[in-house]
Amino acid sequence: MSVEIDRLAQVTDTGEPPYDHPDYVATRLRAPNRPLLLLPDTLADPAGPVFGSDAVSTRDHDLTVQHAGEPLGERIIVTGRVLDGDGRPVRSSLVEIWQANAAGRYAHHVDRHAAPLDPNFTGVGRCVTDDEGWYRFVTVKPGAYPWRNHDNAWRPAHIHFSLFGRAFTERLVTQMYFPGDPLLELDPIYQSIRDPRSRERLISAFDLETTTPEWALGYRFDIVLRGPTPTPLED
Amino acid sequence: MSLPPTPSQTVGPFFSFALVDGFFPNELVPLGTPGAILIRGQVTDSAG
Repeated sequence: MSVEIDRLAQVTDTGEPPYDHPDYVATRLRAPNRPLLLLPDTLADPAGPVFGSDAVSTRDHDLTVQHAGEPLGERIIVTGRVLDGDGRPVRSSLVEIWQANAAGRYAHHVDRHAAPLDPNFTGVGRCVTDDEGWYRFVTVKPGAYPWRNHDNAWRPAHIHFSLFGRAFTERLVTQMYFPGDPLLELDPIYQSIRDPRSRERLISAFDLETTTPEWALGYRFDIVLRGPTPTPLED
Repeated sequence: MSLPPTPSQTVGPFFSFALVDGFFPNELVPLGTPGAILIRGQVTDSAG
């Protein structure tokens, strides 16, 4: 085991979920059973992946206008800033989301949950951050759904996020949750993050300033990307 | 200022309709485009 891996192994909590979290049953099979290989920073191209904003249409951020009619459910606005570890905005960066509909069903052929599909909702959106790192989506609040991890297992309402950042080392795939959801305490995926402060960073905040009168509630979800040489957090 | 990074979460089983299949096709130019090239390879782990 390298010195670097030894150093990382001594860190009590990086804020990340472990690869193997037995309560989250799927991780028992897919977690690496050999030490990880650390890539030198020189392989992190600072130019990073570039996905042109010309591929993102002006309607892609609004998941409620992608079909002939409006989707059923509670219309919401989800917005926030994408920042680096120094608090600087991550500009012109692609943000993608996907989610279940208001009934807790994905428009995906593998999803067999006995809940209705919504012909007016695909559940996919994308946008590019502005010069201050802001993104904004209009969607409907996703429903909870069962997932057979254990007896009577239900996922809390969540929206998946994919961010490319400015370099491959900033790549982040995560999930945004909603405040006050009683299922959070029971969810092995959310609970796989050991540090409660880290877990709380995945819960959006109800935001009256974002809320549009007579139209939609607003939620704020800021995202901080790791840098090329992330510093593990120590308790 | 040093901000703690946002933790990751599993991509889950239902990502393909959102990311791979739809938005980023593996053909960046139409078939038959003059000068088009094909890039293919194999991704392996450290054990080959």
